[in-house]
Amino acid sequence: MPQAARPAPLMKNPWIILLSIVAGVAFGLWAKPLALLLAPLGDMYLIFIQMCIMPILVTAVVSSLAMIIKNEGTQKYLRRMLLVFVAALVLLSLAGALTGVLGRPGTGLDEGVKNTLGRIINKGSQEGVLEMDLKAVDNAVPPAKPSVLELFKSIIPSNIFHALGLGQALEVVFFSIIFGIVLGFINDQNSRLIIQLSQSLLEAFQKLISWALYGLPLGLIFLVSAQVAKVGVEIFLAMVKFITLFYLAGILVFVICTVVIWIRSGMKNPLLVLKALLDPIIISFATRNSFAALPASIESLDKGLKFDSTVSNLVLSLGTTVCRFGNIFYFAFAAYFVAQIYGVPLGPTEFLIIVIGSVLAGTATAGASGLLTLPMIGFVLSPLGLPIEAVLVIFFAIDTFIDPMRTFLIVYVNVTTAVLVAPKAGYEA
Amino acid sequence: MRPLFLVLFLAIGWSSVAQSTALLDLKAPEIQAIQKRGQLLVAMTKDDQPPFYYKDAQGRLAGLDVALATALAAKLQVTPVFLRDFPSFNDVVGAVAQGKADVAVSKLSRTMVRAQTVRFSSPYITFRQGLLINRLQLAKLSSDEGLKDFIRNFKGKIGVIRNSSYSNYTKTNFPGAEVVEFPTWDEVVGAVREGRVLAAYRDELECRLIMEKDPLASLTLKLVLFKDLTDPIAIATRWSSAQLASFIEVFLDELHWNLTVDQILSGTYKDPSGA
Repeated sequence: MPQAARPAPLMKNPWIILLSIVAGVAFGLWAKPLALLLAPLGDMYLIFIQMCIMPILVTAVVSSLAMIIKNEGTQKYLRRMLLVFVAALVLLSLAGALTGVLGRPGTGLDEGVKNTLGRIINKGSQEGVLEMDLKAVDNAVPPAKPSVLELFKSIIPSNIFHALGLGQALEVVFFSIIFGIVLGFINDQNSRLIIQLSQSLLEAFQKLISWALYGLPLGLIFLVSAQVAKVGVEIFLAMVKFITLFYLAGILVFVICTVVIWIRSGMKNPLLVLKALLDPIIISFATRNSFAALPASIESLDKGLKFDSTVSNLVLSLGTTVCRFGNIFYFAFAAYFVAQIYGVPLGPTEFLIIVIGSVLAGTATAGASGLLTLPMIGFVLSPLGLPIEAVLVIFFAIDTFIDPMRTFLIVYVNVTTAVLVAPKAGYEA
Repeated sequence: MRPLFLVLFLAIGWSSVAQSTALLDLKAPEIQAIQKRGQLLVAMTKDDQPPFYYKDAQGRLAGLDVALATALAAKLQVTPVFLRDFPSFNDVVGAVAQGKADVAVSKLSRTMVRAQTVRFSSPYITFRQGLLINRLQLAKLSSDEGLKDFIRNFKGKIGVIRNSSYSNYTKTNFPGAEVVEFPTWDEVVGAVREGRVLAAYRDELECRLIMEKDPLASLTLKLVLFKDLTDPIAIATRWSSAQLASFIEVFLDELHWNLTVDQILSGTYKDPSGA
């Protein structure tokens, strides 16, 4: 492959990318107003990448699934994918809960810290004060409580073009799976055209992203500086134990995953593995959008680590949509924080509730990202009888710090599952 | 000559005395009594009710009600004397009814029961009523969506100050609740924070003061305010003191106070003495 032999162009050089992050942090710290003013430039870059996500999602799932089903030898990868997904979901939830048990993020907080948290809740929950009429019965229908069954119902799009137009990832992926399976059962003659169309669309959009990544260093400066400028120091100091624990545990997961990827890749130097995965890692941290990192993950596994792209494309697309590893990990960890802050002791039964609840709650965040995912922690806290409202204000306030690591975990664990499922390229089973 | 002078002197002296007595006679008896005494007797509860009345850093009595009573006394050209030996708000009402005090300016809630005993001025501040609910217990009993319905059919213990208006309000507004009385508000708040009662019931100001004084309270307590349950705070006088009550009404009207809860919380209300 002559392309791979060519030295990496300047704008894709890992050092340039790392340098741009440092520049972004410095810019955000020392030129806060300007960084906030120029934030739309970073958003523009992110939106440009997001523009390609829906087509990539559809075409990757449809073409991969159809081809895997047609090739009887590769069908075993579907079974393996499901197995790896379930195992990884439970493992991440366990890891989050264990971090909460061992790290005890909600204990030993001194008075000053607690007062800061209280002030933040007070400031953030002015609307949290319920103003109501005792006697009058209001006609407003209360918002429907999100239930697991309702969630399953909402996965089926009533109109696929509507779902595509609104960018509802979960609905789109559901449709793509069905469509890919159906294509797989139609004889080659008739299905070849659509599969090829999907593949060339996928390739075209991947190429577009690949070009767009030349702008990554520039995009990073604005994305990172805007984030740094928005950071509040007070809340960071109050929640420093919680945030540090979350990051330490996240880094541990990162190391374990890297070792797994390294072994599976068959490469000699683990640093080369990291270099190949630098784009998805950096994009997940800087954009805090797991879907934005999907094209880069696909590219890295295909071109960088040389895994079979048919299988890895499918695993990455499905995984990013459904397997919200970072959120699951975070919910299990955060549930322990809430219980500890309220002084509620948790036994083995509650541990099990948290592990299972976090998998469900995390999966329920499918298709959403950022702050919108946080209220789902109610799935975990409600069965434990823990109040949500007040702590949610804290979680909202610290999410600037948490979200990058959470997104990173979604992306990186998904890359790991893809590596575990997919064979190396050229390997015919 | 001498007797003549004496008569003249007496006549002049008598006429001046008669004139002033005539003016004094026109005043209502309760106003006369106050001015003869030179003091306005103001009843307040024994416990401080900051920011309405409390001992400041120098040990002087200060606060909104103190300023209001002082301004009222000044309009009557007397000095205020604060009587503080009443354990409960109902005792303050009793003191006014029995004539032990001229007025009660004591963050006193106007209630239908009390209005049978004493005269109330129009309220100088009207609070909404509030509940501070223990979040941890609430989470076990109600979801966030069903909260309003849960409160409307409140079942559980509600903590109030003993012999306060909220003791009666609980029976009227939350018939399904069990009233638990405590000697002081601090003990009510302590009980709800530890979960010995499900909710603490008092006015908007006191509830919000708890949240402001101790930020951590917002983690354990949820504040609910009722738009249709008010707590009017007014000055009470004895039922027979119609003229004093009318005087107070004029006084409040001239004051144009327009007091709000936010002003009280931030301490930025207008000084009633007009200074």
